[in-house]
Amino acid sequence: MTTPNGKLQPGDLSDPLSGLDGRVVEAMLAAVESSDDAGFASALEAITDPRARAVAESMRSDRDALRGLETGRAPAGLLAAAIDRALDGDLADNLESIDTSGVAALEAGAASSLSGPPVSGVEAYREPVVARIWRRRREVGLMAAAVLVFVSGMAIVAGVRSIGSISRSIGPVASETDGTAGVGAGADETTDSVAIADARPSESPIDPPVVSESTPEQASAWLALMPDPGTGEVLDSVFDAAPLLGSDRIVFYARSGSTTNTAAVMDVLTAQRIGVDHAFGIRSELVEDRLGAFGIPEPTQPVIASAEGGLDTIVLAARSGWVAEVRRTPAALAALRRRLEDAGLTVEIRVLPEPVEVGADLTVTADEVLWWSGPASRWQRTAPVPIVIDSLPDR
Amino acid sequence: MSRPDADILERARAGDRDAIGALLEPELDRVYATCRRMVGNADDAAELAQDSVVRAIRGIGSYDGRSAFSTWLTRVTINTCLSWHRARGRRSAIRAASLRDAGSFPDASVSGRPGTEPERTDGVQRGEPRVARVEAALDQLNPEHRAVLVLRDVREMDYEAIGAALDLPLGTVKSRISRARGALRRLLEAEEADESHGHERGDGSAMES
Repeated sequence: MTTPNGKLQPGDLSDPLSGLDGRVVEAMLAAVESSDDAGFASALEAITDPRARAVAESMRSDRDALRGLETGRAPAGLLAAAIDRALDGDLADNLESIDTSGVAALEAGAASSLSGPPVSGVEAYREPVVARIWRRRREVGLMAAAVLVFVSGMAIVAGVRSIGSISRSIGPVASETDGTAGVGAGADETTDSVAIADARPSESPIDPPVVSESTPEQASAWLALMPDPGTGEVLDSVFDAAPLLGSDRIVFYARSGSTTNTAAVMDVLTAQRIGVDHAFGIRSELVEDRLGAFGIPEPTQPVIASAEGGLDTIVLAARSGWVAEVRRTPAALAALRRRLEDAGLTVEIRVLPEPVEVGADLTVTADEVLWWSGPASRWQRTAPVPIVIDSLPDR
Repeated sequence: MSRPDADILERARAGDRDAIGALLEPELDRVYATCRRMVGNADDAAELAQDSVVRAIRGIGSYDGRSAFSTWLTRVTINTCLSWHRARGRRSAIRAASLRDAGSFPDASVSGRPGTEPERTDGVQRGEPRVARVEAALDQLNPEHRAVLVLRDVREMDYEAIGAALDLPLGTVKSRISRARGALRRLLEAEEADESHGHERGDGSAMES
């Protein structure tokens, strides 16, 4: 029912479009969707049904009101918080819930030990320092004599060494073209580069310089010649890989143009213990029978390496493997990959069709729990991740 | 941003914070606007916008570059909002059932959303009754109708982009928009009719089913 001027009555509103011809409805909606007012006016002209015209005008008005609704701006800090959540944890949405009861219980225990009832009714008594020294004066005297002898001995040794170094200063000087200088040359890894260099056996100033003939540029060029095994699914996104952590279906496959680089970076990572400051660490070397367990073909294809000013040689990549312990977060995977890439390796995160156990025992140690300084909610379990590296020998 | 730079995309997939920030920063207000109008209040909108961004970051590997990045992100955002509405609907239904079992209120009022109406502030605070009414009516639309109107009128997206964001063919987009406009009009006319007749009516009783 409509009024003579086409105004809708409440009874008509079960569906404002009901009873209208399909073509009329189409024309109405076209009018409502007009991009400008002139277009709307001309489209409305074509509608002869007064009821349809009224509905179209009302809908156009609704549309204008919707376009005028304020939406505000995204709150400050929203993006940073979201990135933190996505990178640093909160994977419980996708994985089984993270069991923090152990740490929570420890924290609760620690708190209760501070506030709980005393275990003894005897009051603590601390003996004064002077009294203790006097009571043990004989032992203290012997200790002082031992310290005096030790310091004197050290002073004599230092004096002899300083005389020796003066006489050696006219000997050969160590080369500054050490091939490991380029290892870990990441944008923000300056300190780590030093750490990698330091990880090599210490060299005496008079030892012959250990110079790798494989510069980072050569290593990189050789790397490009290595055949791609091309099997398995490669995941570009650490966010896709992270939910698979703990399922024994993730393997890092890397190729390196220098065994020296490989050894240097893996030495550093092996010394790095997972903890508050590190999202990953190397637990052990991969046992040899596991090296071929990930479906990655053995590097049997030789690579012809052209040496500058020398003869071409045929080299074969050698395979080695490690087991990393990684926190179950995308950030941990990203950090591990970046660390290897910064050392000049090309890295792929591959998904295995079937789980392959690497036999690593990742039981949480008391040491890890004791040194955990974050809140229980930030505790994340770890997962073993095999790292398989094919490295070309240095030249 | 139509198609993001390949290098930024690759670095974002690898978990580079700066790349993720560069990718999402320009889209953030649009994500929030979508959530704001999909849920009707600022607090839930902020939470949903963050959830949407987290989902987008984690799912960045599934972005194949065939559609514009903003369209893909809109899809993630709308899906997050629709999930929220579904979960909220389930919670409301459970709550209503428990209240009904306890005899707290008659069945007639259960069809609405007792006690769960989002706080509406914008139009009312600005003293614009027309805007406030439209805002209230939008809040009462079902989430699918609401989504197409938010994308069409608030985000001012074209039909193709809406189809890509909602994974709907073009014809379905157009028909859903027309049905949504009809539903919105019905709610507004009902409200105006109530006012003109001076009837007292409980909250949410005219909610679109």
